[in-house]
Amino acid sequence: VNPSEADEIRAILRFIESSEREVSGRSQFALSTENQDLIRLLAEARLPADKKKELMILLASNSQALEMLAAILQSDEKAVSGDTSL
Amino acid sequence: MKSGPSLFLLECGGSGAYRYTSEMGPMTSEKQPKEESLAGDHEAESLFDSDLKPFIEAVFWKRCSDERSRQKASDIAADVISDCFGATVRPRGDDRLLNLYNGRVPLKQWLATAAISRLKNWWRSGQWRFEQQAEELETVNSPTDFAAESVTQDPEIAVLLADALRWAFLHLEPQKAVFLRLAYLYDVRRERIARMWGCHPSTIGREITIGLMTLRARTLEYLRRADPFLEIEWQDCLEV
Repeated sequence: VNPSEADEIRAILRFIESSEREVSGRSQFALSTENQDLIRLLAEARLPADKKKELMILLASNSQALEMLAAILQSDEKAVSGDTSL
Repeated sequence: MKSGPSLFLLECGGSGAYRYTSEMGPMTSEKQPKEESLAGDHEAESLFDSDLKPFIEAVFWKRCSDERSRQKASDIAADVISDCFGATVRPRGDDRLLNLYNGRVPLKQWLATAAISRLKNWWRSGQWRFEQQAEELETVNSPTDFAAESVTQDPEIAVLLADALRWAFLHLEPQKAVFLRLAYLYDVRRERIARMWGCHPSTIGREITIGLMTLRARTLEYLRRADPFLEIEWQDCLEV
């Protein structure tokens, strides 16, 4: 995937994301504590395989869940890059 | 609009959608004109000529900049109307264009989309260029260029493309949809996704590539199903 293709894919995903929010209002649903714990376990690579599939369905259909996972993964990466820069 | 001896007639509502009414009151299904026309209701058939054909010609009129295109457009409008009842042999033995109509959008919009697609195909074809040279006509804006632009500028087609993209993404395997979003919307590195998933980064790369290919294929599949006449490439979806 070249840079211009990547930009196009981003644009498509943003479009789908925004139109899905408009249609379903799915981001309004709050995440349960249990699901939040499962997302943390997934980010830490400690989630059992049989639970992964189930959680993926939630992540694909709930933007809050995906945002939470992305935030954890991004903060990990920042922490790692901060360590190496010292 | 007159009702005549028939129990049914076509009405064009404020939304532009055709519906049937009867002496018993309005019928809500937009598929009704299709069913009745295909069942041999001659009054319904004649309304295709008196209402739908002029609508398609009016849509064409705005898009055609030269006389030859207008003449061709008029022929296409007549063809589309006659194809509704079986003038052209269609795939899978279904010879009636109207049988492909699923009622999701107003009938006249659906027919106009099919008709516009045929005109664009003619513009893109060598036939148009050959006739252009034969008549030594010079046009600043070629209809071919116009057609290429209007695929993505036409609001009806834009709506169809948007539906196709949403449908394709909705039918993507959840895992691939999540990896795609993490990688492209949130810029999470593939190495980090792989660590989370417990696999090699190349596996994530493969999943993302397959996800993208599936997204493209399903989008085009939806478009082919929605409008068999529409000649659209993946690039058109990106432009929308």
